[in-house]
Amino acid sequence: DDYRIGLITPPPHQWTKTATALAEDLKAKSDGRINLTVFPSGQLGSESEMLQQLQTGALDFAFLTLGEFANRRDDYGIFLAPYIAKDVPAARKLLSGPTAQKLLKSVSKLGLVGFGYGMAGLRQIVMRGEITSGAQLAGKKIRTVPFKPELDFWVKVGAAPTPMPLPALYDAFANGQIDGMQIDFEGTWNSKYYAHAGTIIESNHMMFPMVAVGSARKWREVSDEDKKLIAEAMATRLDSLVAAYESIDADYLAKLQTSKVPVITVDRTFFGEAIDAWYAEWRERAPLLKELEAEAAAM
Amino acid sequence: MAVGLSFFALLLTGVPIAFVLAASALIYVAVSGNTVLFQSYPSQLFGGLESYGLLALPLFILLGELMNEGGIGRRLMALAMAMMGQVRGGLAYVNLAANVMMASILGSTVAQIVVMSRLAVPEMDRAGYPRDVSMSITAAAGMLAPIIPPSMLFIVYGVIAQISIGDLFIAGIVPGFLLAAAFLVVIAILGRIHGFPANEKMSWNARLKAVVDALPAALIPITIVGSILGGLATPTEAAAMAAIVSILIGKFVYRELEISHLGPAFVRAARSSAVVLFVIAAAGVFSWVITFENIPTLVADWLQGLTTSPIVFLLVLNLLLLLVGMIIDPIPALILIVPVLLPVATDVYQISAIHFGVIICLNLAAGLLTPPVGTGLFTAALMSGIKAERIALLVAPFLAAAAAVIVLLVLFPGLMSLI
Amino acid sequence: MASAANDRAVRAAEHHDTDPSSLAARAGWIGRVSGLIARGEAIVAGSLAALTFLLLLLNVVTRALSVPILWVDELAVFAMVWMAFVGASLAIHHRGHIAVTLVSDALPARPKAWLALTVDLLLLTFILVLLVLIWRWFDPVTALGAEDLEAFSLIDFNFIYQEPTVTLGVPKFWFWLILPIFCLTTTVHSLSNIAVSLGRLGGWE
Ligand code: NA
Ligand code: NA
Repeated sequence: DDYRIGLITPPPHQWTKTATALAEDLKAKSDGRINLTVFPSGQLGSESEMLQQLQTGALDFAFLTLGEFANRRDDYGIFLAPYIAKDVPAARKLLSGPTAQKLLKSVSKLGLVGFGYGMAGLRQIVMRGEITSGAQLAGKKIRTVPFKPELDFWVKVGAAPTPMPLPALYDAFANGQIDGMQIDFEGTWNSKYYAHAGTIIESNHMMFPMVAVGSARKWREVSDEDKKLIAEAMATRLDSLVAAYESIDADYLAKLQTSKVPVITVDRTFFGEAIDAWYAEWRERAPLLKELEAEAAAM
Repeated sequence: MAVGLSFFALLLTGVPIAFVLAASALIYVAVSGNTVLFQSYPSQLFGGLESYGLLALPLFILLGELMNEGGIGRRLMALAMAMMGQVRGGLAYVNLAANVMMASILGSTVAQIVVMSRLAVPEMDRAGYPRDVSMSITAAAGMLAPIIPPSMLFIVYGVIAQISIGDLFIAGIVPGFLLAAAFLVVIAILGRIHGFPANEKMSWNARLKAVVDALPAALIPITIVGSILGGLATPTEAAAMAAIVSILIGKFVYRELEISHLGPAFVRAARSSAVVLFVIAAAGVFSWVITFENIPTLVADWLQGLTTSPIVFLLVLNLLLLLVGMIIDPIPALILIVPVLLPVATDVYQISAIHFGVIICLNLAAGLLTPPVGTGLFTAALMSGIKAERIALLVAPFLAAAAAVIVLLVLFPGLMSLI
Repeated sequence: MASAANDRAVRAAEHHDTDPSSLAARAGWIGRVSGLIARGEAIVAGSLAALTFLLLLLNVVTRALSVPILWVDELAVFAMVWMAFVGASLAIHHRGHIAVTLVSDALPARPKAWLALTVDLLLLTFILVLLVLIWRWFDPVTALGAEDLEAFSLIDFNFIYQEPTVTLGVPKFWFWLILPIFCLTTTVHSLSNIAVSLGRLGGWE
């Protein structure tokens, strides 16, 4: 049987490599019966277009960033809670915990089947000029993706979250249309944003989860045997994807340390009152946040 | 097969090209039997235009309208003429030189053709050049826009390939000037064949006056470059800034622009960009359908089976890209091709991702000027009233020159790393 | 002054046939409706171009003042998309879309008129097919009949009314509405073009 999986990341990205490995697994485990074709780089459209194609049943599977869900329902935003996971192993635990699973089930309301979570590197901050304290972030234009919880974090820090399409980001940062960006080490290195940076802040302040989903409409037609096979292969590959980010983050940080840009390491206190204020508001907006916090506290 | 036949049948009947593409996508879905795609078809047609990068197109077209309305274009051309001696075909060279300057400001062929056809073609008309020839020179020189940095194509390629856009820009400089040099040779030959008129004789006084007259107009490129490098604007926003400056200069310095001219200028800009954007939307939905059927991967596999030599691979790729570029616009083509062919190029043939990018972008930029679907050709036709077929014929020598440059770059990739 | 005259020539050439509205006026009431719609479309498309332009300027100003507004980019893109569809519809009225006229140019008057009619009919066919696809997508009958939109989505696997915009905070279908509008206006323009082509074949000229 022929299936298609779509994602927005380009071929060299870890998510695309995971999708390719998944396709190989499925082929091998089904004796060549299951043929999964990977469509990277948004070849089939933007994430919301892919979501629509999943809903109609044109597309079978996709790896979607959490933002596609967070902008539909506040509860999905809880994974963007600052410092909810202190490192990659903690993130890995939370993404397979009971709260995460509850949310994963609820994607059925969107006509989807949820298979599990992946992630990209933990979020860091890359700034022009020298930064030594969190107070210096006030008034700075920080490029973020337009997800509500993330924007809200930067508003509370006192910065001006600034939208900037990815293709415009390099020049905008080089020329100073923006003062900084929230990004992972992998992107900082691969797109050479560090070349125009004054400070790289190793903050590890946020996760960047991805959700692996399938089309509910198509899933009904898959045989039980293949359903089991696909779900298991997905789970295995997603788990190793998340686990891999521990070393990916460390490798790219080491690469960045070879550049001349100073890297400072900060923790929650760097952001002052902002994080408490964020939690106060989002506990109201997203009731599931408390459950996730309890899980994190128990770790 | 059925799709190809209906495509050309519709095209030759004279159905507008945008509708040929959009209808072919529908026919393809029907033939392939994957009818579930019909449900996403309308939103894909809409989604093909939902991109920040495309905003540059209407904005630069608007800028061209306003520069013209305010008398700025005329004075910039006069300046370029004052700097040129009494050479045969002087204005043709002026056009090329102005295009090189524009290319270092603009990143899109279509936008550049729109602006330059407003600036250069009327002047060349006045000097006695046949309009089809002057429009073709302008259209061909538009190819420089996405090669000489900045470049919309390099930006899109850089994002897909995950390589530094800055490095790509640098790699484009030498090819850009090689291309300009090749075009210079073509113009020299055309000048002999067509007997281009020499520039009018200009007294030193007249030259000085042209320079002084053009000084305020120089604010336009200064605004564009300054607002980008000064961290005020993205390249698209810079066009909006320059448009404001054009209005101010046209109204208060040259006093040629009336506020009542603004409305019609906006309508004209909307009309010309809508026609081009609609072709892009249709090309987008067409390439989406093709991608869904996994055609690019099949082609990549076939290509890989042909040869083990990187040079042969690149040469065959060039022919293939010529075919792709005939039908599909550069940006959808990049999204279609790069994800499948880049890993083949870098892993199988050990070609550098940067060199590969420059060569792909050069090919696709040339595709804007090849029939049957050439947005650059169409834009030139739209702006001048000359038939697209006629322009296609006249740009052929320039495309041959571009092909020579591409082959040169394939054989000597070191040229791209000179700077 | 000479260049101003040139400029007018360029503009005239842009609108291939000399006066489409007066031609359309000869096509009876459908032609008059098409002409009225076209006049409105020119104003709307021009205003959307102006809106796109002003939004980008707003972006520059607010960012310079360090108070960037999130939704400006998204709205500017939608304004451009609307401008493109409205302008593309207008271009049907003016027969301003770019086409290959190689064959048509080589034909004598009468076969040429038949070919023009064929193109008009093909265009109308495409628009009607698109209209059917859009009707099925918006599915207004089921949507209005359903208890609520969430129920509708799950029965129909159609989430059109639940799709959010990223930063604007309004449902996306308001913007998608340009597609049915486009189909309706282009249907009128196309019928008017057919009337004109038939008139030509009936011996107008
Ligand atoms: Na350029
Ligand atoms: Na072409």
